[in-house]
Order: sequence, then structure tokens, then C-alpha cells
Amino acid sequence: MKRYDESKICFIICDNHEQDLEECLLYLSLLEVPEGFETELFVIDDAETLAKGYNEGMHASNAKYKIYLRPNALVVEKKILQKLIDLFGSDKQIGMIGSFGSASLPKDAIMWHGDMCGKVYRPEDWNKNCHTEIAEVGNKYREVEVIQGDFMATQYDLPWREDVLDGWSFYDVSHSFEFRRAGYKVVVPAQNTLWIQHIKGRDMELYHGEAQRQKILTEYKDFFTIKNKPRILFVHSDKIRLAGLLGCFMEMELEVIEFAHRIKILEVNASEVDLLIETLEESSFDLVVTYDFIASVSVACEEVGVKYYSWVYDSPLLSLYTKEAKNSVNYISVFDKKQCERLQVEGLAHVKYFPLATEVNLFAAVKITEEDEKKYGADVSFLGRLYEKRGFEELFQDGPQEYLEEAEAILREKLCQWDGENHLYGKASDELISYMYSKIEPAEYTNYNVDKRYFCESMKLARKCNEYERVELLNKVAEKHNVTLYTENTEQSALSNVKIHPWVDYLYEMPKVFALSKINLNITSRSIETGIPQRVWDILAVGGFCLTNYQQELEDYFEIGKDLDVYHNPEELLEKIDYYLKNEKERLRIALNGYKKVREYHSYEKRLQEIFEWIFEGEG
Amino acid sequence: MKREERSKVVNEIKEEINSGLMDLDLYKVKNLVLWMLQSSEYQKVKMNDEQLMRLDLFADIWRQEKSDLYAFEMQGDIFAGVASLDEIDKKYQCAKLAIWRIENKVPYEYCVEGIECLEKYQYSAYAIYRILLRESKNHEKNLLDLARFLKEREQSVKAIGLLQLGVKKFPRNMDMAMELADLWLTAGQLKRAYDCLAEIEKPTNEIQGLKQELEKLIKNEAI
Repeated sequence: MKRYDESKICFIICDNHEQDLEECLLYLSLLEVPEGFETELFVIDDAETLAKGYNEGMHASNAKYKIYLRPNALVVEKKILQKLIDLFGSDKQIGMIGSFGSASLPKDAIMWHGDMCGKVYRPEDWNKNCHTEIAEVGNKYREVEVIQGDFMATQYDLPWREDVLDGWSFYDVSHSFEFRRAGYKVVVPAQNTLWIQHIKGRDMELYHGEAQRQKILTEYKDFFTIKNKPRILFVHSDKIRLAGLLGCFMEMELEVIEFAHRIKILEVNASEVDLLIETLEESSFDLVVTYDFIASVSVACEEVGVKYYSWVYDSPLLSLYTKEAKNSVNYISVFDKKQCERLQVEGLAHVKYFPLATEVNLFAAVKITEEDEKKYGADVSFLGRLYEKRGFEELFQDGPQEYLEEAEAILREKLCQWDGENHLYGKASDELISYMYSKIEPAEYTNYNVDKRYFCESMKLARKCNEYERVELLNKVAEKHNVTLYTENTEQSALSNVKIHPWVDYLYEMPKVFALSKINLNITSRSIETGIPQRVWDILAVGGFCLTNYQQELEDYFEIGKDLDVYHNPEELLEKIDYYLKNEKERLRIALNGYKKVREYHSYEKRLQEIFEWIFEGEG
Repeated sequence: MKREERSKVVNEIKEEINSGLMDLDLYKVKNLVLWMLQSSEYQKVKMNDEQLMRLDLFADIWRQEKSDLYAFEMQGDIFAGVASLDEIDKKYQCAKLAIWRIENKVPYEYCVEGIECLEKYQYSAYAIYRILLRESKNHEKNLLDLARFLKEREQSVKAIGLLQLGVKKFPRNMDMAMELADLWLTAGQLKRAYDCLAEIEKPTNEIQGLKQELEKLIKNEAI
């Protein structure tokens, strides 16, 4: 049985002939040695592996306290030895101390890919393509899963795993796990001053221990089995400012890293692809996620072989008609069944229908003040674009009148009629379609391999129909009731008696609009053929009353008349507005039902769980 | 670019750079620096390689040394004494560790060692300043401490160079301005000393007094 000297501290350094050793030893020589203690130093030259070297040093010394140090680490805190002894003494369960570490080691076993705590000074950028944090330790110490290996202080000897570690990397992960397996704590103390200054930065061009990493993942799989949730890289585009998915990932306590750069959504940019590839190669992500589909992201994921999930909330989304959309790594969810049918014949690898979802917690927590009531209170509100000036008129400017007449006839035939049937697509003659297509700027469609009929119908006819319908409905309602419109362009000469306000902020103001409007209208864009738009989900999540045009898919998720209500034409709309303004109790009851339904079944979290099953378990 | 490809490109680039660094003269350095600016491949891969980033810093320092008036105190430039990327690493490390020794308040004799290393490698004030900004934790304090150290070691020219950069970067640092003024005075440069003191916002009575004294002396000199 080895007898340990409780008044001895041993420094063990494995020197692999880096030039830093001299400097490291200089700083060691300046440390204050606590009274009654002595120090010793072992420098192991030419160790075959770090584990062997450290074991050699460990066995050679009878010091109770051992500090395993890399020559790259300068111990700049002169009183560190006393601090270590005090901390070890305060809790015998503490087995090992480091200057920084990871409270939750990412599932790829690479510490700096997740959030860390402690104090570290390294001048170069950390994870320059991703945001990670190094949190200060507030209390005396923080228990962590692993500490970083440049400085590791122990008060017990445990053998270094030479059988697992046959190189010079991941020794810190291994030894931390060994201490935890033995029932000890591995901790990072609070550090008012910097303890360790590193001469070298992190190896920027990827560490070289992939084989070692795999051994670690196998040997310590008991520590990693709980980390079975996907590790996600979330990428923002330059056009979309939503973050509900990201927030949800964090609430679900997934390992999610935000990519530091906003990627252009409308083009494949070679340097952005390169940046993404670098990030994906450096770390082990299970999945990359974006709102809508970003071709550059798909290219990078395809190159590296990482799954890429697009939460599509636009319809139609033209980028789904590009060659990049056919990459094998893509998993694309669309919220319109008809859209999904169309895309399934386009040769996309994985496209599936999932309805949208909403921010149930955030929206339910909206706080209303008296000022808000004055500002946003309304009888009837609609939040949306009017799709004016979308180039429809210009198409027919110099052309034969018959084409314009045909187009107008199609638009007017079933204007403001929602009976679950399609009245817009497949109606135009081939001649009209060819004419329209010839007048559209090629830049609008060149990048997309989309059928010209579908392009003209969804991007031109449907949008014009939206304009007509929204103006007509709002004007009709405004003849009898107070109507408030929140929209992009507040100069709307086509509207009469409608109170027009500018766009509101999605996260902070929109919920107030929905909460404080007695009736929230939804008028679905005609390019959404059967699906339920985001607006409906959001109104219900806030607890607002939703009166929507009929869409086929509503009946899949809601009881009409109980969770929300629908109209099929303007007459029915007016009737129901009259009714619900007079019958507040019923209106509120319906709003409450809708709220409960969405909370229980249609949160982001619920939806994402289904989506992850599809992506990772190959369901459907 | 994938990692393997990038690694290959980086190795090729480094080979080319190393052959360019051998037997350096002004012409060769100029060509190297131009190539670095113009090569899209180099620009793409440098961000992922510490050695290349260091070379990049050296090139930037060199351009500044050549274009500014810091050259008046130089015997060599930042590329003096290097013939490979590894030697650039060594030279850089010497400066970094010297700066850290002063910042971490190691005993005097070791700080002296560090300064001697800076001398050996013929570092200009500008080069030291750039590396200090990159490596130091507390730039202002460290710059002043380093300048004082250089002054003690009778390297006033370098100390002046460093402090000139320092007062520009940290215009509110009175101690720095005073230190520079003192060095100018020692060098017999009254006007420059006065100008330093004049830059101080909210000067103390002592400084005002000094300024007035200097004003008189400068006038007398002029007469």
C-alpha cells in the first residue's frame, strides 16, 4: 500500500520537445509554496504516449497532490498551490481540479464545441464560426464533466488509461471520466485572477486525434448514452429574423450551436459554403437546421455528409425547385399537403408534410398594459400583406386584351369563395401561361427548375387574387365594423374606412394585437392551397379568437366552431363577425379551446419530436 | 473546401513561402507580401492556420514599418533574422513571452532576459506594439510598463516609439503622456515634450506649471 506524503506537491510534465518547457518551468519556480509543504518536479522526456508518461510520473512520486501540466501552460497565479490545497481540503470528494472545463461535454467529446466554464486566456478566436460561452464560476467551485488537460490537479492517484489513450489527445476527457467513475467530483474553481495562461492557442486546423476520439466514445459510452439527443447547428439566413426553432431547441436542452454568419438565402455563395464546411468538419453535428431552404447550406451538408433539415414556412418556396434541393442530405417539411404532393414528384430525397407549429410558451406569456389596450385594442384585426404592386398589371400592359380578360375572369370567378376546391390552378389556358411567362423577367425564374404553369399561377395569379380578396373583404367588413389592418405599406388607396397601421414586431407586438383584438381575421394566401398558415397557429397560441377562411386541413386539427370558426364567403364572414361581437362569452370560450388545443398538440417541441423521429428513425 | 484538401493546400503554400523566406532581401519580402495580398488561395486557407496568421501579422507590420516613420530607429524590419515560418514562430514567441513576463511581474532578471530577446531579434517599437496589442491582457498598463523597462535599459528611442503609439491609442492616459514628455526632455526635444503635455485633458497644476516652464524655455531657445 503506497504511503502518501500529505505535505508534498508534485508537478508532472511530459515534454514532447516543445520549446515552451523552459518558460513553463520559470513560472513554476516563482510559485509560492505553502508553509510546511514541499514541491517536486518530474519532467518525463520521450514518453511514448501522454498516459504512459503521466503514469510514470505518478508512480515515481509519493506526493498526495499531483499537478499534471503541459509545457504550454504557464501557471501565473503565484498563490495557486495554497488555493488548491484549501479547495481539496474543503471537500474530500473533489478528486480533480482544472482551470476550465465543460459542465456538459458535447456528445462528440470535444470540449470547446460546447459551453465551458472557468477562466482561460488564449488570444486567438474561439470557435470563430460558432458562438460558445466560457462562463465565470460564481460560487466556490462548479462541478463539471471534464476539465481541460493543460492543467489538472489531483489529490488522489488514479491510473491513466494507457489501454485507451495511445496518443496525446483526449487524455483530459478520459481522466475526468475515470475520476467520476470512481465516485469523485471533477471541478473548476472560482478564479478571481487568471491562474493559467496558455502559450499556444487551440489547434485551429482540427485536432488530429479522430481515432482517439472514437476510442473515448466507445470506452466511456456509459457517459454518452444520455446524450442521445441530436447535436444541431442552427443557421440563420440573411432574410429571415425568426428564432422560435432555436429557442425551442434550447428549451428542449439539445446541444445547439448557432452559426455565427447569416447565409444568403437566394444564392449559392462559395465562400459561405466553405465556412460552413469548415464548421461542419471541425465538429460532429447530427443535423443542420434552417428556416426555409438555403441552397448553400445544403451544398455544404452534402459535401460533409451531415443531415440538413429545412422548416419551410413559405408557400410556394421556389428554392425547393433548385438542383440543390435534390441533395441526398436534405430533409424538408412543408405545411401544405398539396405543395407536398407537388414536391414529391420533383425528385427530392426526403420531403414530408408536417403542419406548422407555434411558440406556445412565449406567446402565452405576453404581458398586456393599459397602454397596450389603448394602442392595440380593436373589434376586428387583420395582420398581413395586401400583395399590391407585384407586377401583375405590367405583364399585360402592352399585350393582347384577351389575355388580361382571361386572367381577370379566372381571378373573379370564385373570388372570396372558399369551399375546399381549387379554383385557381390548372384553369388558365396554355396560351395565357405562355404569354405570361414570356413577359416575366427571366431573373425571377432562371435559378429554379419550376414548371412554368405553376410559377405563373402561384407567383402571379395567386398573388393578384390575394390582393383582390383581402381588399374586398376588408372593405366589406369596414362598411359595418371597426377594422384595423397591420401591414407593410400603409398607403392603401383601395381601402375605405379601414384603420391602417404599420407592421408590428413578431415577438413583442403581434401577440398583443392578437390578444387585444376581439376578432382576428385570417385570409389565407391563395398560394397556400390546403394548408394552415402561421397566422392561425399564432393567434390561437396567444389565446386570441380566430375567424379564418375555410382551408381543407383545418378539420384535421381543429373542431370548427369549437376551437376557431371559419367563413366560406363574405356574407358568412359578416354574419359571423356580427354574431361574435355580440356574443362575447362564446367567443372567449372558443378562443380558450383553441388556445388549449394548440398548447397541447401544436407546440414547436411537439412538432420537432415528430420531425426528429422522421429524420433519425426513418419513419415514413 | 474540405479539410483534407485544405490541409494539402496549406502544406503546399507553406513550402512555397518557406522557399521564399530563405535569403530574404527587401525585394523578396515585397514580393512575398504582395503575393499574400493577391493570392485568393492563401486568403482562403490562412484563417485556419496559426502559422499563416502569424505570417499575416508580420506582413502587416512590415508594410507599416516601411510606410511610416518608425523606420528611423530600426536597424532591421520584422522579417530580420527569419528564414522560415518556424523561425517566424520563434521570433514571435520571444516577443510574446517577453511581454508576458513584464505583465506577469516576473523577477527583474527574467524581464531583462525577455528584453534582450527583443533586442536580439531587432524588434521595432511598432512591431512590439502590435504584438502587445494582440497578446497582452491589459494593453495600456503593459505598454507603459514595457516602455519604462526599455527606458531603464537605455533603449529610449524604442521607448519613445512605443509611447508615441501608446498616447495615440490611449489619449486619456496621463502617465503615458508624462512618460513620453520625460523622454523627450531627456533627449533635449523641448517642443515635443511640450506637445505631449499639451495633449493631456484636464492637466494637473503640476503639469500646467511644467508646460509654462517649457514654454519659456522654448521661447528662449527661439530667441
